[in-house]
Amino acid sequence: VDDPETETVKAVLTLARTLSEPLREALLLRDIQGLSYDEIAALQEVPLGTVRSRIAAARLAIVRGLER
Amino acid sequence: MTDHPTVEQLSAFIDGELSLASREAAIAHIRACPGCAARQDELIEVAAALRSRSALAWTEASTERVLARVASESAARRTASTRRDLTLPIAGAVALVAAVALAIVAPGVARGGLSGSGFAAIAALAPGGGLLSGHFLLALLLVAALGLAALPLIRTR
Repeated sequence: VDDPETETVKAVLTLARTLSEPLREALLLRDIQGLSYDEIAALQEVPLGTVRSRIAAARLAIVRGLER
Repeated sequence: MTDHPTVEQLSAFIDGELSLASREAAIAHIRACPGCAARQDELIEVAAALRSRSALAWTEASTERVLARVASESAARRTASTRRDLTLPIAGAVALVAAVALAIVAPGVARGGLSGSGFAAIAALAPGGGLLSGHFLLALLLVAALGLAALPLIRTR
């Protein structure tokens, strides 16, 4: 039997898979790879502000998915 | 901060990507606003879940794709820098040719004295004329130097 923490991780990962590619990639590079916003901006070839909004949108979508 | 921080600000705050002033304002606001504190906790829960040990088991195809893309892009960057690095050996080769030319010409100039022109000095090196005459030697060296200088232009195409 999985503990509640593992359950949360699973739920977050499942929800992360439903994100659009740019959002999921930005979130992955940030939280799994541990890259800075500057590094993600260079990698995705977008302005820093776009990285900020992509990561925030990705997290908000997952938060809303968990609330359901 | 009188206004509630945006989700973007709360999210960037978690990542330590807010400026010092914005960070201090966010901290002050979150302390005084239970709504924003709750939202902040939710965002932290998501970030913490992804950063946890068990999240490393995330072997979805998209992860592989991202990593493959990052790897191929850095490999492409390495190839590009290798190509740029050719400039130095080529410049070295051109410098070597110039040095050889100078070594041949300089003694001639010295021998030719102040009154003699450079060309006459080179010609004096090969008194017999013909293929080894000074003019021919100079032309040969110029062609070689130009050819080496043109090499990068040919390679980048």
